[in-house]
Amino acid sequence: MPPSNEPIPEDWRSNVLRILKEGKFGREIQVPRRVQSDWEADSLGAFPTDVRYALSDALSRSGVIGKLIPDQPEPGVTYAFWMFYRCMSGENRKFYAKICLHHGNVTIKILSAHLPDKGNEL
Amino acid sequence: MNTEIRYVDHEVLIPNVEGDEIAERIKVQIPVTIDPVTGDEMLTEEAFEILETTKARHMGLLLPDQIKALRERLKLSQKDMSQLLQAGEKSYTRWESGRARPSRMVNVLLRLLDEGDVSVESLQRQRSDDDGWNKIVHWDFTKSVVEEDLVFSIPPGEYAEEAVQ
Repeated sequence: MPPSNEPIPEDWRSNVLRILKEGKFGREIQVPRRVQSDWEADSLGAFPTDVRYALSDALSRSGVIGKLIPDQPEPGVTYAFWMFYRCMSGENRKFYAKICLHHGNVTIKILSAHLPDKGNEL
Repeated sequence: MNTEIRYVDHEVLIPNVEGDEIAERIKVQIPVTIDPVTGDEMLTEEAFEILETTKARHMGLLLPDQIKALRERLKLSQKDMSQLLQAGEKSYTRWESGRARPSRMVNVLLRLLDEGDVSVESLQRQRSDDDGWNKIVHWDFTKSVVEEDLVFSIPPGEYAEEAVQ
């Protein structure tokens, strides 16, 4: 049975929030170049590290809905969820976001930060 | 994680002033490492620094650390600085932490301050003038005039006497 949308577990959420808040990009917060390119293009030129705030805002609500992605090659637990970002033009855009919390809860890898490409499905 | 550094070409996208289109694409070389599991090119700490500073420079923006350094150089508190720029203290704090970015107009002011083309004193004078103006605009003639208002808002000359009465 395919994984369904569910509230993101509190421990995953709080660990990821902590790393987003305290971590450094390129160290605790790991970003593939392709993800950065998507983020920059879809946010109409946002700064690379601004993704931190969009992700934090999305995960800061208790009970936020996400989808467990079990088949990621990265060693860790991965969830997909929606986030919003207000572009410089004032337009509020909805983004598909995906983060892997690596085993050990010290680092995360941002796997996606782009406009939805599969409609409204996570 | 494979720590071997590799330099790759990358485009930094610069938005137009309205922020609704990409106006310019700047080619830079950035250091990446390769994720041994997925083969992803991973941005290094230095890569982020290059991307952020390139974008800021082409947009004429100061980075959060530069805003903070400017304030410290001017020996001002966050509250002083927010008053100087006529912005909310919360907004100013967010600019320093990177939680929000000042508008390009505020950035022009910050740059002028940074380069010494405008002085703190001149902005403070501007601020005092504005305070006076605001207080006159919000003058309530049905209530008695408080001392603070007299000090800051009454311009010298004919109106001062009238206001004291």
